[in-house]
Parts: sequence; structure tokens; C-alpha cells
Amino acid sequence: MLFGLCLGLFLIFVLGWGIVWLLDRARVLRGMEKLAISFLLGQIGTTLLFFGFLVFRLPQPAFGEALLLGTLSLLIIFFERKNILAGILRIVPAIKQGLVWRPFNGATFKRWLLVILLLLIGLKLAYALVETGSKPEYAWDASGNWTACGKGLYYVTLEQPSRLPQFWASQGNNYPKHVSLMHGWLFSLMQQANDQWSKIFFWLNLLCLVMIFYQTVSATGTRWRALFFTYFLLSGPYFIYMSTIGYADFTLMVYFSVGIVYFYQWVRTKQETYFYLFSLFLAATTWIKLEGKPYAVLGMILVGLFVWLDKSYALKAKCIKTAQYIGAGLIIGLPWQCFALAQPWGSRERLALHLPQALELLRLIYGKMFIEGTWGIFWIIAIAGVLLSWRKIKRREILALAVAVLLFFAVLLSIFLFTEDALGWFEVSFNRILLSVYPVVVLLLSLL
Amino acid sequence: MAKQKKIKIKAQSGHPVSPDKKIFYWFSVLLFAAGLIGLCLAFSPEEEKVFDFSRPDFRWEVSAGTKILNSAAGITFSKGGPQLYVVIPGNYVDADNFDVCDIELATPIAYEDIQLLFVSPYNPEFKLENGVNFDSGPARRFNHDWLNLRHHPAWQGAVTGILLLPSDKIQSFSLKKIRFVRANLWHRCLAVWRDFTRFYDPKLGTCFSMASPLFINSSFNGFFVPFLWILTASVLLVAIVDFAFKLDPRVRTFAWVVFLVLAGSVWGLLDLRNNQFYLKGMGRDINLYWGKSLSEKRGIVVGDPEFVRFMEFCDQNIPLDANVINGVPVNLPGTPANYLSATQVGYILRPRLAAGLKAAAPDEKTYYIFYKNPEHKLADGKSAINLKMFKVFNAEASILVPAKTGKDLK
Repeated sequence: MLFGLCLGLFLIFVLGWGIVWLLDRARVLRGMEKLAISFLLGQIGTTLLFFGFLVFRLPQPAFGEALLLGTLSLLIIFFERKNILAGILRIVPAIKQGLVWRPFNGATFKRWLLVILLLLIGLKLAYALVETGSKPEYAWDASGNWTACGKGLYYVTLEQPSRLPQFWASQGNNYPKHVSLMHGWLFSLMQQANDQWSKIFFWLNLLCLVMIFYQTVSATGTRWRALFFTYFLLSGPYFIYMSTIGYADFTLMVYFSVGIVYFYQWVRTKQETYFYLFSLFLAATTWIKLEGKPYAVLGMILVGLFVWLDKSYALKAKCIKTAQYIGAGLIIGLPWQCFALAQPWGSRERLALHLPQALELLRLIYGKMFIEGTWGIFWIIAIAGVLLSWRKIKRREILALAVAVLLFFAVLLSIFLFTEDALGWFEVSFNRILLSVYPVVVLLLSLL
Repeated sequence: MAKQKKIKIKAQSGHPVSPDKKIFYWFSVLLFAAGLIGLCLAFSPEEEKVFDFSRPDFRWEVSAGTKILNSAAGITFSKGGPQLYVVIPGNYVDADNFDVCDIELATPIAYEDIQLLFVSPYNPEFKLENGVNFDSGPARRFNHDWLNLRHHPAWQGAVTGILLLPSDKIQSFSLKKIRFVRANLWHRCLAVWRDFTRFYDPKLGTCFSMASPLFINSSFNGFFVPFLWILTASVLLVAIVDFAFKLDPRVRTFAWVVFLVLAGSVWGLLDLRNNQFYLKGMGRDINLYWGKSLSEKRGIVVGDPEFVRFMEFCDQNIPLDANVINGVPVNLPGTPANYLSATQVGYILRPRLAAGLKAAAPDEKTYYIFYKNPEHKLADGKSAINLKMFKVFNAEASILVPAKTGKDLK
């Protein structure tokens, strides 16, 4: 079983590595970052492939996909053998260097603080791993929806493949299925519906986010700053807890925030690779939750603001950038949207106006963000940080992040004010929606 | 002139004290002073009332059916009936005098929830809502559990009865002593810290909001909102003044430092608590889940192991082309409302797709599953009729089928 799990995760990673290899022709991505992006993009690639195998009713979908990805991995290993070998050889001296004992004296005081930060980061990651990997799925929506669908897919493809259309129809809602398909894929390779181990990809997502976040902050600041803000990111208890329970909100947060992080990197460096990553990650959110669609629109507005209002771009370049963003959205997002429309599910996404409740909504938001305690004093720190360093926000790349955060809040308000039943779900959904922007705000604070 | 000389000597020495070293020295001095104060506080005398379970003349009572094993280490109580608890009746404890309770006990499950209930003039009977919850500490060893009773609204006057009630998961526990203490500052801090870092299993609602204990029903909460307003208003004021008059960078830096010290202290305190919570959580996960089968783990985590076994029994015995009707009640003790019925039935059973999307009229492929539902009530509130037994799991859980079909009665 564990071999199947490792194989499943390895194949995801290999597929992602292939995608990154194709995208990053300029080789701007660094080692740790590259690994993290490979795993995240590999998941979306695996989901799309697995979904394709299921929709076109190809026999043995998981086995077929594993065969395809296995062949791909052999090809990548063959063509990249020199780079892979060199990478492995670089790891050994790096570990040796890290293990050299440096005596404790006043001059190394900062180093000790770094060690303490590393230990705290390690503790939080260790807790998330133990909590995720020790128990099967139990949380409400995870067992009632996300994992349940993955489990169903596994059993139906195994025992009653002819009833797959009935299975899809029985789902009853148009929730995107990335998380379910990931579970289904891992169950299929493990040859059992072991929801304790399949959850491990949530923890790996957390790890990937932490790696990308660290690399992003360290690209413009010191190692000290990068470690401190990585610790700060992980010190949100709600953030850690959500990484352990199998909810799609956490995965959505990872993809959305990584997308925005690469938008910031693109504005900062103008490297095309970052723009591709931004487009792909934002498009991927449409596969994770219904909120993904407004997030993809948010990305489109960002493109509008930072490409179309930028006079340094020629009209042709502006059109190309917009086409790239829309193209990524269509290639990744459209298959699920078309499939969902063809099903007898209906949709909860209906427009309705709740403007009279706007003040009441603001009161509720104030309570959730500042008083209730889920976020501790995080939002106070965020607001104060922005107010005390507002001059720095004028810098274009920081402005990009600030605008993304503001747009996020606009999206959040519009979800509650202009859709039919979201306001009714405010109590149970607000903190989960807000989670999506948490890493982006921490990144913004790290740059002030 | 003298000043110039001093600078010269310092320059000649060639070993100026680096800022790093200065910080280190001050940190060491502070640490030493804190340690000294801590030691003084720890050894200051305190008044106490002790209930020692190893003494033969001490009178206590237990729940019906409880098995008792006396040993040198303490007394072990094992569940023999529906509940397990220990009562100390008729002993007088002056609640106005004693503000901390120290319970020395050992449980087989790490960091499990235990309640201390008491009878006082403000709480005339043992009420769960007036109890004091605490976690039992690491498993299989005697721990001192310090309880902060100082601010408990019902802990006043003469306390005449004490009851110790472990959670349903605990099948046995050992007890040495219960001490009520007029605590010195050290033990009081310990009790406050234990209360602040108390471990609780994340509940189903935790995914919606996750308030830190500082913010829930605590005296801190009364200070927090004004603190928040003053902090925000101050920052806003600095920002407006800066915008209007362009503050000196040193003033801005000073504002930053003040803000960081205040915010960092609160954030650090909360994070310290979270870190201890995580350590406890890992200890509990390792103790409670590791080495068990997936089914056993699921039983623990959903709060009803028997239900999970019954669902697996149903999954094995009901054919895949059957139409399953869910007769698991919405409200079951020990689990949140509608949790088992709405999420776990569909989750544990493999998909039964033959019946199609709409609930068809009962036919020979219809199977009813009933769990702790003696009246066989269905989701619409009406009792199912004309059923016969198909498979029995136990007295409270069974699979039934319509009586008119040709299935054999088993």
C-alpha cells in the first residue's frame, strides 16, 4: 500500500517536473522552489489526466495514467540524467555543511535565534504531519463530500465501472473535483481506500507553500527575514489546523496564494516563467472550489491593471499576455465547467442582491476578523503594518500585492452581497474564504 | 578631555563589545534574575487540604459496577457499569481559602478530557456546565494536574462534595491525591498556564472558526477589545500625521518598535500556547492512534467505534445493487447532531448505484439500516412498517428488509 502511495506521489511530481521543464526555459526557478512547483502543478496535471480517463471511459483509468506517467518519468530521467545526478551530488555537501557544529558565543547569537526559528517551524510542520497522517478522515465536508467522492470513484471504477455515469449524476452538486480526484488517484494506486494516507498530499501542499514562500521572501530579503516570516506564516493556528483536516479550502488557498506570489514575482522581475505560473495556478483554482471562478476573474483584473495600464507594453504584447492568461484558464478550467454543465446537478451560483444587508455584513466581518479570536491579532498586525509603511506600497511589485489583497476583499464582499445563498452560509464559510488570502498578506507584510 | 581618553583606551583594547554580545549578556542577566525569582516563588509555603487515596481512613465512593485495585502507587478504578466516576462526599473545603487544585492521576490515554465537579452554595448539585475541565497529561504515568479555580463563578463558600468524571473514552484511571491549595504565585501561574494550554480534540466546528482560549470566556477578553482599538487608533494617528506632516524617520521607527513590542508580546504568548498545544497533540495522536487498524482509528475519531463496526458489517452484507435506506438517527449521544447519519453512513458504505438517483418505492432490493433506533423511525419522522429482520449486528443495530419480499429471515 505504501509503495502505491509513494508511486502515486512520485508520478505527480514527475508530471509536474515535466511541466516546469517546459515552462521554465529561462531557468529562473531555484531548486527548492522548482520541487514545490513541480508537485503542485503535477497535481493539476494528474487531475486533468485522471478526469480525462474517467470521462472518456478508458479502461483502468488509474493504471493507464500511471503507465503514461511512468513512461514520461523514464523519458525525463533519461533526458535530464546529468542534471538529476548533479542535483543529487549537490545535496550531500549541503547537508554536511549544515551539520557542522558552530560554537555558541555572542557573535553567533543571531544564528541561535535562527535555530530557534527553525525548531519552531519544524514543530509546526511536524504537528501538521502527525495530525494529518495519524487518523482517517473525519471532518464534516471532507468525509461528506471531498473524500467521499474520491472513495466512490475508486470503488466504482474497481467494482462497477459501467455505472460511472450514474455515479457522477449521484454527486448532486457542481463542486469542482480536484481534491476528490486526487484521493481517487491515490486510492487506486494504493489498491485500498485508505483515507489516512491519502490525506498526506494536503501536508505536502503545505510544505510546498512554505518552500515557495521562503524562496520568495529570501529573493529580496535576508535569510533571517525569510525564516522569520515563514515562522509567522505557520504560527496561525487556523492555517495549520486547516492543513490537517482534508478540506478543499486549504488546497484552494495554496493555489490562489502561490498564483498571486508569482504575479508579484512577475511584476518584480518581468520573467515570463512567473507569468505562466501565475496564469496556471489561478486557472487551477477553478478545479478546486466554486470560489475559484471569482479568483480567476480577480487574476484577469490584475492582468488588466498591470498589463493594460502599463504604457511600457505595446498593444501586441498586451494582447499576448491577456491571451496567455485566458488560454491557461480555458485549457485548465473549461473541461470541468463543460462537464458540470452537462450533468443534472443544477447550480447554487445564482445572482441576487443583498445590498440592504451590507452594514450588517460589515459588522459580521469585523467580528470574525478581530473579535472572535480565530485570527488572533493577525489582521491588526496587517492593518498596522500597512499603515506604518504605506510609503513602501508605492513600489510597483508591492503595489501589485496590495491591489491583489484589496481585490480579494472586493471579491469576498461580492460573494456575500451578490450571490443568492452565500450570506446564509456566512457563519460557516467566512473564515475559510478569508484563509485564501492569508499567505498573500503575510508576504505583503514581509516586504514592508 | 576625559571622554576623549576613554574613547582612546577603548580603541586601543581592540575588543569592543559587539551589540550581539551585549544582547547576550543582558539576556543572561535577565534569565538569571527570572530563575532566582522563580525559585523563591516555588519554595514559598502554602496552605493545603489533602485527600489522599492511599490512606485507609479516607472515605470515597465510586459509580456502580466500578472495579477497584489498590496498590502502593494509588488506587486504580476500572469501568464496570455505564459510567465511571469517583466522589468525595461530605468533606468540607473552604473555596474562599483555596484557589488551586492539584490532582495526581494517571490515565491510559494521553491528554484526555476530565471534569472536576463540585457542590457549593452557588452550585447545589453536580452540574456539568459548572465543572472544571482539564487534560489528563501524558499517558500511563502520574501527572500533577493543576486547576485554576480562582475565577470560577461557583467556586465560593463551603464546598461539600467533589466528583471526578473522566470522558467516555477512559476505561480506567489511577488516582493518588487531590489537593486543594492556597497557592503561592508559582503554583498559581502553573494552574493558569495549564488552563491556558489545555488540550482538547479539535471539534467539527473548528473548521469554521478556531478561537484561542485567550478569547473565550476569559477575563482577558474584556481587555482585548479596548487594547485592539487603542492600538489601531494609535497606528492610524501616526499614519495620518506622517501623511500630513511627513514624520522624521526616527519617529516612524520608534512607532514601529512600540507597535512590534506590543503586538509581538501578544502574538508570542498565543504562539507559545499553540506550540505546547501541538506538542500535546502529537503525544496524543501517537498514544491514541498509532499501531491501531484503520477501522479502530475511525471508530475513535468519529466518536462511536460500534457504529463504525456496524457500518462495515452493513457494507459486507448488503449487495452492491441494493437500495439502502438510512435509519441512523440524527441525534446520537457523543457525536454532533446529524454527523453520523449525514456524513458517515454514505462515507463508510461503498456506493450503491443500482437504485438510481431517486428513492424508489421499497422493493426486494431495499435494505433498511437501523442503529440505536428501536422505533425504526425514518428521516421523515414516521416509523418504517412491514419489515423483517435480515441481519442482526447486536441488540441496537440491525439490517431489515421489507416483509413482503422473498428474502429469507436470518
